[in-house]
Amino acid sequence: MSRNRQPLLEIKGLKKHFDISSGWFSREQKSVKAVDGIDLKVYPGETLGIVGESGCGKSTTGNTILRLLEATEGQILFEGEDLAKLSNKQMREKRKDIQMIFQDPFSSLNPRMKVFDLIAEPLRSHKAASGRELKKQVYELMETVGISKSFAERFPHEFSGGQRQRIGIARALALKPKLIVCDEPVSALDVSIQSQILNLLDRLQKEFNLTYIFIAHGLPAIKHISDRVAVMYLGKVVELADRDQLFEKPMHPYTEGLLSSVPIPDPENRNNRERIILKGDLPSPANPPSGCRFHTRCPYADEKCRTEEPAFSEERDGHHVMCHYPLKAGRGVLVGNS
Amino acid sequence: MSVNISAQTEAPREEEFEVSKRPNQLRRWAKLLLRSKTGTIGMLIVLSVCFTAVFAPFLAPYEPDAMNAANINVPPMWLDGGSSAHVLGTDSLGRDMLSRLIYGSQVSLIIGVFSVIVAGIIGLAMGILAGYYGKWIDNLVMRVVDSFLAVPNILLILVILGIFGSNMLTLILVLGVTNWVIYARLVRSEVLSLKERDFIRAAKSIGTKDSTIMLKHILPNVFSSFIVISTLSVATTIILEASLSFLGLGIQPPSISWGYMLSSGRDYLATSWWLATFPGLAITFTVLGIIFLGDWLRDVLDPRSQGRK
Amino acid sequence: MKQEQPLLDVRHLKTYFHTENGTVPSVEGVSFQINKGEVVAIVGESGCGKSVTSYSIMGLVKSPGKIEAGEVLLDGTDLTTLSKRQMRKLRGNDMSMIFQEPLTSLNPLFTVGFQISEVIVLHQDVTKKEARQKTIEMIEKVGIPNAEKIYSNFPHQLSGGMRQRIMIAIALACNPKLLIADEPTTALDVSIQAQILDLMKKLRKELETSILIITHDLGVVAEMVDRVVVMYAGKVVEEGTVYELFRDPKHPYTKGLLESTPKIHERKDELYSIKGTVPTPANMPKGCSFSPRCAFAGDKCREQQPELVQVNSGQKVSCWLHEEGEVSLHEQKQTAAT
Repeated sequence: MSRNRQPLLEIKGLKKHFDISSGWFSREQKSVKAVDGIDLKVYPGETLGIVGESGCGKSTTGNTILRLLEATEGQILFEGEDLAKLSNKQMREKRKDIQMIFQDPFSSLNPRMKVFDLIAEPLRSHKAASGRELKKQVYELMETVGISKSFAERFPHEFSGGQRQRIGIARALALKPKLIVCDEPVSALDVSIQSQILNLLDRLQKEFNLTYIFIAHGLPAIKHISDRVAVMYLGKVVELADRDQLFEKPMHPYTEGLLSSVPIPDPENRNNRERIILKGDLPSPANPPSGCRFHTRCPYADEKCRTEEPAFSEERDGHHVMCHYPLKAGRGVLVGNS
Repeated sequence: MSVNISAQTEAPREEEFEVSKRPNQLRRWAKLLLRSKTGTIGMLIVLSVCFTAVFAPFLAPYEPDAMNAANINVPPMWLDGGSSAHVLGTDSLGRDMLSRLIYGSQVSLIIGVFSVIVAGIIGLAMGILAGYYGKWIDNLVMRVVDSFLAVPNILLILVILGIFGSNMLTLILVLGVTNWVIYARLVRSEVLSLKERDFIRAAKSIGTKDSTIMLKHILPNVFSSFIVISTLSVATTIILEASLSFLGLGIQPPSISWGYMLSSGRDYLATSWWLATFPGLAITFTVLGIIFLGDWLRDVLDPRSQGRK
Repeated sequence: MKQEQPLLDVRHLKTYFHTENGTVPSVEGVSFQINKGEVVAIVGESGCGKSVTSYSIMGLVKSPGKIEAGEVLLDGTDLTTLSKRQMRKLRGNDMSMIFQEPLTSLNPLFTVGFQISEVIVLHQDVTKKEARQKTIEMIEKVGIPNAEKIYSNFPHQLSGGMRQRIMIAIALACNPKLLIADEPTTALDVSIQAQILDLMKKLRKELETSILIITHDLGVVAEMVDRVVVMYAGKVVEEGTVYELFRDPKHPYTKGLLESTPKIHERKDELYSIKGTVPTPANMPKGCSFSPRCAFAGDKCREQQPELVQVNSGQKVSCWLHEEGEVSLHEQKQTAAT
């Protein structure tokens, strides 16, 4: 769809390792390879979903893009400029263009600041507005995200989770950014509130021409909001494709298993649905398996998978997969799929 | 019945939010205070000591250093030989005990409060810097803290007072400088856990300056535990001042502190026990009151208790 | 189904929390039954009283909470009248519970084997050796290989999925008649969640235990439940078999919940969303508690609280729209449109 355009953000060979010292006497320097060499492009106006289970490095990736964590290796090119090379001061300037929405609306707002100050903070930090203009902009933002102006003098603990997440979104919008990294923005919310927030994000994207990186572990939410989806497993992107391609014809056995694991709210078909249940546990990212990282849980793995790491290659138009034996035809893992 | 389906699928733009009502802050605090017996007692004691210190000239029946050779070592009024002219009796120079106690509260409180302020400011600054920046700053500050902790406080104070002499200002500074490490350690550990909270990351992500983050996000959030510790350490400082006076290194005459009164009364314990007992009781009650108040503050300011309402 | 006595019969249960700022009615007159061998789910959003209901059944409501009225009949015995001692005897033996967060519900200082055998020794007259034997059987039963080795492991040595399996082993060790599972898979990853659900389905068949699942996830409900109780603001708003409830939800709230859940096998441009938020106890609306958020609410809804009434053989609903028996929302819509 958008492959001829310039990407807004391009990640090249990004790595983030966390060192864990292993005691006084051990010489061995161990590290958790939270993100271990990923390449991604994000095009203007699209939503790139990043999905995966705990410890796959999806949140670390998000935090590294904003330099809330410093990358160990690799480039983060935003409009062609490498963010990893910017000084702290330059990076602060750049944060006008890249914003973040956090998972936990309870801990991401300073409990001792009023709503008005919370939303005004980005504008004040960048001296983008002051006095009357500031007031006007904050009220506008509050209206945009659906919070009544009359609550400007309230504290965060007086609001429910969904309302707080709206405050978080208003903060992220304040500086009219180009890219917003949404780090599990709905997973802490109730079902009926989740759909409100997803719709709000949808609407804002159209209204302000935003680009999203949407990080989540919930596949249904990812499917709803994303244009393209990257599936991560133990620090690597194992599959990247257009949304419909990925959900209908997954090529990586992990994606297939993941899709099949999602409980479907359709009791009629529960007994005739063929499910592929991934066996075993997630290996620790401190000590990933050799060869293909997924081989310990893969139903199709053979000797080659155990020893040789597959390349991340483009199998079909825009459909990348990291597997020696990509699944050929989508095997209709989603029974009841019409 | 009337049915309205028009608004059904539309995402609500402006919502009718139900937000809980906010009670009047002052009332809320008064209510919280009255709910706790020890808190109320503590507050009453502390308020009355402060009142006494501030209005000492109006409350004291005599000048604190007015001597009267005719009335030496008069016992309190309820004992044989006591007189209603001197409610708590007089000392070996015929000075009125009650008046001296009243004036003594000034010095004890001033030293207690101001040295805590000095210690608190240094400790807060060091703790926040060390916790927030980490790395070598943290290392440096914490090693200094360690070395302060390695030397017995009282020894350090004695040495410094021995060199610079003892007056109100040096006492405040010395007690402040030797006590800041408590705050630095507390504040640092609070900052370390705060730093991991999302709202600090959120503030960074919108491009807030480090200095602003420290002043607007971190400081207000460590302040409550800081207040609790400082309250308690006003109490320990009052005791420390008393001990210094007892050793002869505290406040020097003609100023009066409870500690000084206690130490000068010690020689007459066998004959005129009231000379040491009343200042001792004054210290005990004040310290207890402050500790009660501090405990109550800790319960109330704990953010976890705020959710409970 | 109706002729035999239900295993669990909850009648007009009221559990209130007496806080310093007034009384919070968490559970306000809840009634439902669980038959032998049946799996029932209580569904609702946070604060609807579903967890408090389960704690009330287990007799685990902590001060300032108190069961104010109602009966909880387990095999005909009213649990609310039992002494603490009698309750302790029942818990773990006749009914047991698994919790959302398996790490915090296991004691970190004891081996998992010890923690399972502890329950067995407590409730059954067995020797230590027999208890150990039974424990190892239980560990195998919940699908953990190497049971002998796992026996002497500490909780922190196990992954989240394994810990939840151990919790299930503890809960089922004495073959209880009723198992209460409070959000058993919420804290787990998607692929692990599928494993645990699979295990619970298998054990259910094997042991014929009745299960009460507390959840907000309609997918989990559709996967393994026979009957569903939907709660909103402390009351049951709808009850029915899982098929009926998903095929033809009667209550606007149930309908809203079902529609607002993004589904992995379908795609919509905009999600349905229920406007507003759950009312707090302090500002509970007059009449039907859902009326401020309900698109169908009329004057009567805002004035009077509807009763839970039977609308067909397997479905009960508390809504004025269904006061005179069977009228589907669909028909309502059409009459309104004309």
